[in-house]
Amino acid sequence: MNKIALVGNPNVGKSSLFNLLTGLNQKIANYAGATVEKKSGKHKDIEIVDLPGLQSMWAHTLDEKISSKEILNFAAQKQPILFVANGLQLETSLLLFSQIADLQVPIALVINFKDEVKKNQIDIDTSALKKRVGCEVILMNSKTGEGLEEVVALWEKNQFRVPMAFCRSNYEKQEGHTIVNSYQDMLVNHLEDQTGEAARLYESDVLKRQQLISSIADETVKQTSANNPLQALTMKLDGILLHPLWGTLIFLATLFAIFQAIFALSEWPMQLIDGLFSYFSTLASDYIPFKGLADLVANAVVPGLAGVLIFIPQIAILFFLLGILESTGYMARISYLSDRLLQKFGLSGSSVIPLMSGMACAIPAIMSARAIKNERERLAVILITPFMTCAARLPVYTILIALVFPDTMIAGMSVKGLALFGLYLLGTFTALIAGFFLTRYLKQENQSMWMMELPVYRSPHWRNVLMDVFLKTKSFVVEAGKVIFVISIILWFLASFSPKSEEFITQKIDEVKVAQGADVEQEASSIRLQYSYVGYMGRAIEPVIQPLGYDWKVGIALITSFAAREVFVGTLSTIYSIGSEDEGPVIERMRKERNPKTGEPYFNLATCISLLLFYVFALQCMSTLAIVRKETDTWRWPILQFVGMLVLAYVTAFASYQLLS
Amino acid sequence: MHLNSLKKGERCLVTQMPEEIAARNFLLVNGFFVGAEVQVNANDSLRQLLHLSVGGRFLAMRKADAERISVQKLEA
Repeated sequence: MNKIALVGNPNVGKSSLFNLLTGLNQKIANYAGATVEKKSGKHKDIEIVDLPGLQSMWAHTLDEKISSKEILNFAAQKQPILFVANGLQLETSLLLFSQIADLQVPIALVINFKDEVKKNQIDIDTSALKKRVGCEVILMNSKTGEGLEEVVALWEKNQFRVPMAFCRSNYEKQEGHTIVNSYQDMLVNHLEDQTGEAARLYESDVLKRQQLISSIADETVKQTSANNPLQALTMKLDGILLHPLWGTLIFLATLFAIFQAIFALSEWPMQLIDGLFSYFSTLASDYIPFKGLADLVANAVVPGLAGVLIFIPQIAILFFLLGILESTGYMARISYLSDRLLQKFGLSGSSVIPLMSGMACAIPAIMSARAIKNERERLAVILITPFMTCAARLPVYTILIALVFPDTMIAGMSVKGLALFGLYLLGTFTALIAGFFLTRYLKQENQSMWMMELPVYRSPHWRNVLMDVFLKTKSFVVEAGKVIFVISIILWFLASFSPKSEEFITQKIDEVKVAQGADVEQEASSIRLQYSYVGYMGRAIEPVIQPLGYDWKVGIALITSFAAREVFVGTLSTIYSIGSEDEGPVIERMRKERNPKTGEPYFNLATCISLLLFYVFALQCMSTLAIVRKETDTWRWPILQFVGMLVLAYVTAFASYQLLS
Repeated sequence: MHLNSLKKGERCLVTQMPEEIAARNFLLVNGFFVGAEVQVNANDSLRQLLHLSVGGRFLAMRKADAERISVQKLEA
């Protein structure tokens, strides 16, 4: 034995157990479909494989098909399976268990949520169940780790057993002198044929299993009291949270509160980070002995990193609040609340989880679309998710909002928070409109039923939520940091050196001095920047971006941020730091920036709105394009998506600038 | 009668499943089969959804889909 698969229905705690066993931090959420791909980790020298949850071996969705195929591979290799069941829904879990048991693979049954089973006064007779299913049965709690030692003992003491066969004998046929069993073939066939003979065979198979499972459940599971506090609480909360009027209002208020909190709670930590980086810059200037290197660190690397890292508090708050929605079970309720509205846009409640997850990052969000049953809807969701406002847009939005919206409150609400909420709504609305057109254009293979599990409400598992926030924020910092570090060094070289001679630049500075009749020492840096390599590059693209209200400096930031949106702020921070004698955060430098023709502030309402709209609509994220390519298995969709979103971004930015300027 | 016509708090037994095999198998693995007991926790006319309890699970189902399932109402 060198590897073990964790298998079970969706949302039964497989990933919690995986994390306990491997020490890794696989995403955990209280809704079906949180895990959509195979993940591996090690427990000592044993490889633990966490598979996406599936309702039965009759796979409906891409993530379920991944699991079905992997289970068949495990069975072929006789590798053991650790089957995780939900103690509150044991009868439901036993259907899949019985199907896997009939593959005659070594298995053990772990019944999770021991605490909830006890709270709901459900009595599971594990000894009787062990006899009926013919393998080890362990009751555990993957939240606290209770029962983990018994689980580990399964492989340490070699306790996996080939269980009793449920309906396997129905597939036996005498062929010559040997008995051939076609059960595995039936499972493989039905993965390909879900409407023909294999489907009919499958139906009769499941019905036989249901009868057998009912008799096992009757014998081994007893509800010792009519009280079912967890279920009763869920029904009570659903009465309010899914209420036709209150449910919608609470949902809107929740979203609104999230965006207000992003601004309200992040102010002082952002000031702290800003102060810290200013201090680093001063230290670099004062203590690095080589002038060129000191300039590179103080005026390029540190301001570039500070420009983005200052947004860590806002991003962490967003991840934390979304994490709470996911872990309590409220995310599935958002699917319920939105299903009818989404149907008008060709989507369903199943699209909500990828779309809401897109508010954190489009990459896992696009992958989570694997849990969508309808292929047309899945493709549409993959294509529209990048319109949702991801965390990487937050730095861009925050800085542009701060430039044009006042720091005041209206009826107790922050104006900046309202503006941010508006941008999130615009992204969401655009995603829905795009969904409407796409689902009309894409071919529908077959009309399918829609159903969604509403998990019982659970209090957030704070350790998991905080760990998730830490990992996602770390990933943002590392990924953005790497790109910004490299770009800021390249930009520093391009901005510090010129194709023109030093005499030429000195002459230009003198010309401006004579023309203005004033001391232009303050502008010397700006003139040097203008004649640097980056200055020439920026001016080459100026004709294309000028109609949108952008100068060459913004143009450079726009180009570098095609790799990742958050690089925009880092690039501007570096460019303004090199091109100015002023100290202070990038926002102050942006405020002081003047239009050379009019003398007016450069970042006025027209320019900022134009930039905001460009970033709402443009797909500036290489990683998103790569994941769309992977999920659609063609370059056609990511290319169309990139071009379509770029055209929309350009046209709206152009129209807004022309109207407002 | 059909599942979609039941009111909040009413219970029923499934008596007939949809004709289409794919829909039937989809329902089957979600706990719906002839003889299964279903409770309606909410019949949401605004969103055209049913909030159901089936086999210890809470499920949301569209009323249009529920219309394809025949049931026999159980007395309280």
